[in-house]
Amino acid sequence: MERQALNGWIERWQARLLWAATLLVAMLVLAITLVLAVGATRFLQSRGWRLGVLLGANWNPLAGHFEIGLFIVDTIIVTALAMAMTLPFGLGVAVFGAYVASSWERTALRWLLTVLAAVPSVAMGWWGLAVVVPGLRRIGGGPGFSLLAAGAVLAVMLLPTFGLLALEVLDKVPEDWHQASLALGASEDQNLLQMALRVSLPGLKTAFLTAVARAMGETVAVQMVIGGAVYGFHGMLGPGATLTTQILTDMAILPLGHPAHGVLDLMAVILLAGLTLLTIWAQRGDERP
Amino acid sequence: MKRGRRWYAVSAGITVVALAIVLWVLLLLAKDGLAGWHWSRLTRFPRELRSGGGIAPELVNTVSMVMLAECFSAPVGMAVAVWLTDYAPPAAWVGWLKRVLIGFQSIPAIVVGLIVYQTLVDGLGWPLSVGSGTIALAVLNLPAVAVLGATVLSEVPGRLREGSLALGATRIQTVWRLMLPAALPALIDQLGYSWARLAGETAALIFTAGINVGPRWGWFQPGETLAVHFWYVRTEGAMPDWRMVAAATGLVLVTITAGAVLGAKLWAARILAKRGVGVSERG
Repeated sequence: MERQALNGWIERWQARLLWAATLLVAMLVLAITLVLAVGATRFLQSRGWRLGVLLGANWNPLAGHFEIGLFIVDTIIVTALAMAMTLPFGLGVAVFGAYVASSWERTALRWLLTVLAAVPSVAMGWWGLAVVVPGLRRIGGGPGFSLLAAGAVLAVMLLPTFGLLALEVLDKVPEDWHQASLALGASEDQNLLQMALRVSLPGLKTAFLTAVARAMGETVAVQMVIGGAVYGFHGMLGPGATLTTQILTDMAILPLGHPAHGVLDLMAVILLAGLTLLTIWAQRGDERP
Repeated sequence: MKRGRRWYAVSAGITVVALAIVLWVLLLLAKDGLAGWHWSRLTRFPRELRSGGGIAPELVNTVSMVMLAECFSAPVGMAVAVWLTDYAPPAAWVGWLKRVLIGFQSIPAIVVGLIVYQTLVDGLGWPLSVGSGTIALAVLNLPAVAVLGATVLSEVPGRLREGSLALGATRIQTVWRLMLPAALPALIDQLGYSWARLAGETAALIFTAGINVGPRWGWFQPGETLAVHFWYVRTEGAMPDWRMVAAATGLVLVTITAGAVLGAKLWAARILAKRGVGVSERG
């Protein structure tokens, strides 16, 4: 009986500790959101809630102009470029790993992709400076530092992660379904395009949006190759600046206490809002929360 | 019979090209990093304006900060994971909490850096230091551990848990003696990956740990890591041998991240091999 009482006591306290940990993390998340929201609100208030702050492209801290529209547009463009480049490669890798590769090739591919997915983004930025930027300068002229360079570097960075996630999704298609589809007379190609990829679509969507979120949130790899131009839009082969790179750059230029420091909070809030939309979209129709 | 396997061949071709491009990054880094490599780089202090600087303090900072951050965030994150899988009531707000944590898993590192900078550095007056950087890494890691840990735990077959409870084990005994051991290989795998992710983190650390090193290690000493040094030297380095220093730093960093991932994978595979077709059915 002694022992049972002790066990009950331990049981209760461990449950409380687990709950306390959850509460701590929930509070942390709440605190982060609040700090950013307060900073952003204050900044917007000081600007008189003008919509131009979000839509305009006039960024000139010295003259007191803080409009972040250009950075939002550049973030979207760079992310779209990266995903457009990484999607076919990632899908190819996933199809090969899930359906074509022999057993040892599959194991080797998985291990290799995991190691490559863990390569720090700063190494990708380094490669971008060494290869992509000079390459674009030679081919397309201009400075080389560009939205396209940032997209290419991100595409290479995301490829292993997206490939691995997509591979896992394709792997989950039950073997029976392949057998059934082939037994009904489908060729391997028809089986792949009309059965396997189609039933995997929800999972592939989640994998894709996870990669999109990483692309939007990446900072240094983009900052190293994008050129940091804040005046006007210069096209795909011209330099630009995204929300993340601009937060990094301006943390030094607009230190705390500077009246416009809140614009950094605003940029962070915009980023988080975008990511929240992505998360909601990713989880729609995905029963696994 | 016509097989119609055109897309299989295409996927194989794409895979070769894709792997070649990504491996290009590593091979170029290895080539440039090994050119002019000297082991004394690992033991010397960095030099701002002269050649021959080392990365000893950066190495120590990276390893110590990642370890400290994991020591905090891994247990707390796992506690959240256990609560979410085994203890959470079937209420709507638990689903929301899970969704919010999944969302925060992809919080941009620079935003975490911004928050820690505003609260610790400005609010509490902490210097740009090992301490501020460690907290930033821990904050970055917490939601990831909680979400990935919950995923791994939820993959332990439900009937194992039911069997344990039916035999009279308490819930917490079931967690300690069944759930965690069953999920151990997968958890080790995740730990290796999270180690590598933190070691390679740059954006969250530039304005929290800083871009300098101190004369000795300390919680409030400047805490530049390998990744930040790599970034700083490549973009703003003023030493004559910046090319070599940057590439060598990057090579050491990539070796550490690859080592963490591979080491964890090998360890997990060994546990699984020892078990044979054991508790975990994920093989």
